[in-house]
Amino acid sequence: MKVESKKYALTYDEYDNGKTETDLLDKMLKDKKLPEIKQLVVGCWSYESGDCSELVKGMIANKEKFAHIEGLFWGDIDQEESEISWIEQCDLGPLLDCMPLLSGLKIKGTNNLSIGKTARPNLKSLEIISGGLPSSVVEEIIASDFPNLEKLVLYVGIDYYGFDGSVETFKSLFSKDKFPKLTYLGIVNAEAEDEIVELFLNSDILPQLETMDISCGVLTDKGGQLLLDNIEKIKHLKFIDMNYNFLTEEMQEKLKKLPVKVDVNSDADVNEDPEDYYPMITE
Amino acid sequence: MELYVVSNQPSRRTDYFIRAGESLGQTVRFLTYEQLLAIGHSPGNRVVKLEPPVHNESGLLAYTALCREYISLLEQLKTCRTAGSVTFINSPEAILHTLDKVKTKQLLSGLQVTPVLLEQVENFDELETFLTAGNHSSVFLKPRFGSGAGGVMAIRIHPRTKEWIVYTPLNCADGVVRNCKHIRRLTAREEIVRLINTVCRCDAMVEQWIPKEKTGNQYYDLRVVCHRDKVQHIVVRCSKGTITNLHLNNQARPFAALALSGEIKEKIYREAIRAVKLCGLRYGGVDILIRQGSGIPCIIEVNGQGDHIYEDIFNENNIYRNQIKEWIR
Repeated sequence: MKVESKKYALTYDEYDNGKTETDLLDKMLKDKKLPEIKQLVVGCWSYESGDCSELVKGMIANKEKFAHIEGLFWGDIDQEESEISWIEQCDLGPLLDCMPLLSGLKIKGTNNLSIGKTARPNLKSLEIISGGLPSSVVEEIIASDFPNLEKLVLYVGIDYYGFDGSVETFKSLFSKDKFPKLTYLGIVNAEAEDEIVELFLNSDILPQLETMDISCGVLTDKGGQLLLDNIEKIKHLKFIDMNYNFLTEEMQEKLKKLPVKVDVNSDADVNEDPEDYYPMITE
Repeated sequence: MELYVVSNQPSRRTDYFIRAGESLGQTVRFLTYEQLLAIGHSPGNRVVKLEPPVHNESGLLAYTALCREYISLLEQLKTCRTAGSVTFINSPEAILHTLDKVKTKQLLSGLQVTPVLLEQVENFDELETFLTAGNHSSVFLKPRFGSGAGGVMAIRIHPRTKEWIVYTPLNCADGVVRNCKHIRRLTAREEIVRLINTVCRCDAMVEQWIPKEKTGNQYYDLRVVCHRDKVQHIVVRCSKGTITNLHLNNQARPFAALALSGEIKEKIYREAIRAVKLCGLRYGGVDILIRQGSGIPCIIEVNGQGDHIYEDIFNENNIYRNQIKEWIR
């Protein structure tokens, strides 16, 4: 029986007993099932906000053991283990270079994150979860070549937790020449989600998309109205994800009548002072 | 034998205990604490179930004062037992043990518990010094006396930047620190300092924050209600955050829905029953978390009056019925 997916993490008990990321690396390398794993999930490596550089170095030193990996979730760490904004990353580019078959990449936490500027012809899906995405990571994506990318989701977050860009930072991502095979684009968890809608509507990539993901952010009636005013541009979409939003009930009802499947569910409170509107993940 | 349920006023707890008696053909009468004290020394064969006082106090300091009053009252009620006319289902002494989180942990030595790191802390500065010196980055600050989530603060300090993040049901409005019905996430140092200093005025203690296991996308812990050698009921308390108490709009789920091995379930039952015994209780509610990653059950606290489970009273009412059956056999 093939083992398709496996998660490796330093458990709290191991940490409590003095184990470190070196032991996590050992656990991974000594696992006889590692050669059968296609989807590799790496969870908590430090309970003291330590970075993952030693773990990455150790994996690179054993790169032949990871050359078959097709999917990587780096940083599957939840709130009980660490605040997202306290997850310390490092330059993952050289590690990703050791995984030439990599088609799916998901990363959680973006402090000191780098993914390099390179061509990854097999990469089909890229998702980066953050409470504050550094613009340097977006610039690396723009400077890289992912010709077969089908899904791109970036969590923007807020400046307090590391987002140092603006809506303009993402503009070059909305390009059919850049991503000719992209069908799912999500610029989510943004304070300026309404302006992200404008980027979608004014882009040349919109006609090829099947999913517009504008979830988890401060999407208000202004962004909702933009969608209603541009039905011709969006009617080909299969799905618009607006889950978690600051739309009024009236606007939600109008959006439900679009000729596109939508998710307008939200537990955010639209009745709050707009000054208190925050994206879903803000740490 | 006369059976009584005692509190400061009738409540859902006392009503459903009386109903449990009715369903078994046993009369249960309500008494106030004062009435019990008045008759407790006269001859008789009385069996008494003590319930906590009913109040709707949300102010933390006022709530702490009520806890202290209740503790004094329990001290007085001990004399009824000494007089020999009253048998308590759970004795005032045992309830007193479980109202003191430090004492409870001492009684449970030998069992897996969430460790107490500091039995008393006077103020924010002392706490910060202790956490920094000991390299403790994730802890709970709790009022030592009382039960529930009132005044609880889940605290994180970044090991390098020393940034604080706190999750708590506490807020401060009009100069009064109150428990509210949802968890707030705090990052502003000034507010954190004010709230911590207030909790420290309630005999605060510090516990290690042990990551809880998840079911689906929610963290959970268990309220295990035991009576003598049996587990009567288990509630899975689920939450998006680390504080799972159900009055904070968190969700209860059935234990059967959890994917726990038979071995872990057995360990949960064993540890809960032992905890109730070690605290000198006939029945109790034991809060247990499952350590993330290892599946080891770990006792958070024991509640000597933690047998009030809506899911049970609104259906079979078996928890109360079984307590009564023991005395009418």
